[in-house]
Amino acid sequence: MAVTASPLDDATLRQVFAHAEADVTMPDSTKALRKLRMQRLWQARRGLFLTLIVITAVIALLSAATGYPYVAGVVLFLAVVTWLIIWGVQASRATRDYLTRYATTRGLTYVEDGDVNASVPLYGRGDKREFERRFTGTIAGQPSALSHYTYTEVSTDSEGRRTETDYDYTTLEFPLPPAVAARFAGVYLSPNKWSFGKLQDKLSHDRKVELESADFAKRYTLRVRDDQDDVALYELFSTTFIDRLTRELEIHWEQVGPSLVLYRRKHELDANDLDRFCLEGWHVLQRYLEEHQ
Amino acid sequence: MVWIIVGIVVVIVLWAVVTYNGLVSRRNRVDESWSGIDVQLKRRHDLIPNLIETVKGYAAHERQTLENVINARNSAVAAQDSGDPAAAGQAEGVLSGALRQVFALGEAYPDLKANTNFLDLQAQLADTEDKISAARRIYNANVRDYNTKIQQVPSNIIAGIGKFTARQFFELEDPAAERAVPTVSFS
Repeated sequence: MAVTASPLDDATLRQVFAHAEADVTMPDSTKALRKLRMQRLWQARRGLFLTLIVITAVIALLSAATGYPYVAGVVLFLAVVTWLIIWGVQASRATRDYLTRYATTRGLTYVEDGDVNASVPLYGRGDKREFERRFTGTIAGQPSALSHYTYTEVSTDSEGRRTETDYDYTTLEFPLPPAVAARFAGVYLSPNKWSFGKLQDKLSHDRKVELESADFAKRYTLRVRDDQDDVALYELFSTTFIDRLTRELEIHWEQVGPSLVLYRRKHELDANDLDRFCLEGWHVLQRYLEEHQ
Repeated sequence: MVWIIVGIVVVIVLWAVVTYNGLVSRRNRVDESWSGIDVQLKRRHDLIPNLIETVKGYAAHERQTLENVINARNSAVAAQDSGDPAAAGQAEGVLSGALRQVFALGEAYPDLKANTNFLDLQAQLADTEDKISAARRIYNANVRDYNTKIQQVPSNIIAGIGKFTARQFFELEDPAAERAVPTVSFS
């Protein structure tokens, strides 16, 4: 079973979501909503379902008894496919209902698509890019957008077979004030990964920065654009902030000029996980804004 | 056989050139980052005379405190001009201690504390301290990389031939603050 984050206390939640409603309670999960939907559908259409089950069973038995077992197989296969379609539709609607409730209670607007602007490298990756869902509104006191973003890489092998690989992210976007953006050309904090070292620095327009903390280096890879001012960077990554990123937070982001985009590597579908993600984003945003004050 | 030997020699020469250039690049980065500290230290030193004049207007009889700052500033300027990071670090540490005493005067003299010029200078000096701290971390990171490279095998061979010597870190020390025993009062 997936482990979800603990819920935020009410005061903290209202700090993050300034326009949250008085009642911010959420259903347990999308699975609980799906189960509820299936139960309601069964109760509303019980007669029809029972009739279909009986007919399917009779046809299958008669077919098997009269020497046409393949007919029984086809009928059973169609019954399973029908059930899977119903289950899939209910799961999709349950997810939408859950996330709509999430948006409403947090004072956000829920939309099921949006244009992808390549303001940071993450939003320019892949051969296809889309926002599956967007929650727009005021988060951490700023106009921002919480999104389920997916980019797709399309590859073709030597025999012409096409393969598409999706990469799902949950992202949180904040605009930075011009005075803050002017000090930070580009900062990319990602999970620790192997690199080609100086060769990669020479080939790309960014460079790796190693801070003083070995624990930080185990968790994160920090890269900055070549024209990033080092003094501003080290002021942003103060020793206190480094310690916090190592011990308390686990968050990654890409910032280019006025665009700050924080991300996690999957589509978060639990309200507590989304709230925690927004809270961590708030801490990072505050750090950027503090450097301007 | 001859070609093998020639190939080995070529590889060794190429490696030596690349290593030497790498050491030069690291040493230049150290120098560049020291100049970043230099700029901030100069800014800090330039703010202090204005601060002294502002404080004199409200606390002229706090002569000892003001003289301490002036002497510490002069020592810090001399240490900065010497180019010795250790000496500069120690002198800046003493200056930081003296400045703390000046800002503490603001608590004893409410009119001084409310003076906009005093507050502005305090904010500028605090900002400069932050920038010095950041510049110091950058400098020490570059020194660490450079010192590590000249000590590691086999680049230490080229470092010895090219007379690359280790550089000192820049640490801010305040001997008075370190010697002082903290007092705790439960009153």
